[in-house]
Amino acid sequence: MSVTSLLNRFKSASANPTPSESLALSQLAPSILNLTITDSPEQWALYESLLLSTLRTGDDTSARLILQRLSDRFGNDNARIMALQGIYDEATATNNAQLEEVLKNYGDVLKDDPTNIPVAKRRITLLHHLSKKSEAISALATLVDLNPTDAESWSQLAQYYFELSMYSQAIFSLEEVLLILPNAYNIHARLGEINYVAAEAIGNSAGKEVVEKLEASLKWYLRSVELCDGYLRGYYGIKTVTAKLLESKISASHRTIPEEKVNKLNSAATVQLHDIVTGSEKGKKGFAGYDLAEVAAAKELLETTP
Amino acid sequence: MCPSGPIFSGFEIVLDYYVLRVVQSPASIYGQRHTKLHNDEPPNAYNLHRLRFNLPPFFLPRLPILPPPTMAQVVGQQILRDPALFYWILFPITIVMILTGVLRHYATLLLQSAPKPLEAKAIREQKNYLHGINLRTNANQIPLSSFTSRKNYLVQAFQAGNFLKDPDAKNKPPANPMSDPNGMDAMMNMMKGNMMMIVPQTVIMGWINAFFSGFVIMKLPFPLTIRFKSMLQSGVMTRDMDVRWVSSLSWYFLCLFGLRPVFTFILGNDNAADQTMAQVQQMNPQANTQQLFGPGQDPAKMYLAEAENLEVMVQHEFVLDGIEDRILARI
Repeated sequence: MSVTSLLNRFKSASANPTPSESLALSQLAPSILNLTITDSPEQWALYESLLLSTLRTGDDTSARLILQRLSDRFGNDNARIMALQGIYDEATATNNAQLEEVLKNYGDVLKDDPTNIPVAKRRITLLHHLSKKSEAISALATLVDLNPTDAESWSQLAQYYFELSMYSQAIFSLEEVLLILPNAYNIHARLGEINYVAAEAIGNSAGKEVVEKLEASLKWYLRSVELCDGYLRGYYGIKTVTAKLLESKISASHRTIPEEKVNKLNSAATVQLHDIVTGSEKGKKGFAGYDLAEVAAAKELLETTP
Repeated sequence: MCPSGPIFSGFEIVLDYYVLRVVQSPASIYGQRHTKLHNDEPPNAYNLHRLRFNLPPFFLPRLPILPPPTMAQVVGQQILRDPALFYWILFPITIVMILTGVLRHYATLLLQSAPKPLEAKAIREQKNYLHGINLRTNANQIPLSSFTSRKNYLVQAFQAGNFLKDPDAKNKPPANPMSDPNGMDAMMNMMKGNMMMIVPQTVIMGWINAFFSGFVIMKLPFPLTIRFKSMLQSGVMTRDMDVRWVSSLSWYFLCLFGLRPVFTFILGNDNAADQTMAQVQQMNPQANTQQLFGPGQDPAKMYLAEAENLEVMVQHEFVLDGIEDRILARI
């Protein structure tokens, strides 16, 4: 197989691969490592993806070899190689003491060169993993102060805030992502989710604040399906939020979207979800590529709420 | 068909219509110098041409006996060319040009120093500036309240110069770009690139001028207008020669500008062999360098301008307004 076809296999894998998927990718290691090195960008991208897959499946010998070749080519002081080396160290560490050691290394590297963004990001994830959440957040805040146009940092920051139930901060961070990537429909849906969770967190009352949050959530979801037809997560969210808006006793004065429209949106989302679920189950054309877990969840939602 | 001396004299006038033909082997130029006319030779255009290129007398240009042109007929020009012209001029020039291109590519790769990574403060200065631009262009993506709070914050911070690399330099005039070490580095790189272009070109052009100047080496298979004469016949100063004839120096120029597909084929897409590519890159330095603020630009002033741009933004149309109607209309 050629480098391009192999690389396409890695690209078509999902962002969070299942163990069997990872194993299949990791088993490509011998055929990739036996290819002659042509020094093309594609080949090195392939090496990087393969490194992550082999580390996921515990094939440390292959990972070591890949890392060796990468650092032979780009040098040990390359920022990206340092981060990959760090990932390898983290993956092969067996206890927390070793992880602390890796963390210390990251700190030393960053002291010499505070602009080493890949290593800074590794350090933040490791801090978070070691349950030093506030430290991770403050490190990430310094990073976005250094570079406020990095969408990845902002969305990670939103995730960390969300985990700590700091919803308004999470929403702020995701809005920053939208300023960078205005058409990121998944971020729109995520904003809907966070607004919904924030509304839930306020309590079960039907106060003005709750309605505001629910309607904001609905609008973000609507925008996500406006940007991406057939976005399952968006329709799922629309259905859930509209159901919530319909069931609670909300006085008309709190609403900005009239009840009939909410009703219509609810039925429209139900129809769309139904289409997606049946289409995906029957393997119809145009319904490929849905996450099976998401389809199952949508099916369950359709069964529980008519 | 091989007339001797006296016949020529009758054709001296026609020479300009029939054009010099160059049929001798170029190898002869390496031999003895022929600077004198024969005793019985009348000085005419042929002889002078022969002397100019140091050609021995036995390589007298051959001239077919043609009737003199009448006013009514258009003269088709015929030049008999020695096939050796192809092997000894056209071919060598092309090969040398290709080889120089390849060599230049590798020499440029060797000479180029990697761009120095920016300092943290410089990155911060640039990225926060971009942040302001992002906010301005994508303002409609976020709610009005979020936009206003961000705007107020950024305008205040931009005006106070919070993101500047060195806040003290705010009121000073911009530093001389020559004294900026980063600017010096960039200039040094540019000069190296330019030298890589200029030196080989000078050498090759000198070589061609010394050895091959004045040869007509090929005929284009299509007619051209008179404007192309200076482009295609540099080095051959014959007023009435058809534009289709290409001289060796012109062939050099055609190679210089037209070999890009060949280099792309040999060296890949982003090669440094072709000089037109380098010129394009010099035109927009922002495209391939990470320097947002060029040397000589004052970041403090740019920040102030951006703060003003943000301040005057009054129109805000949140994309989520009325989205439910848009979706309902679509379904």
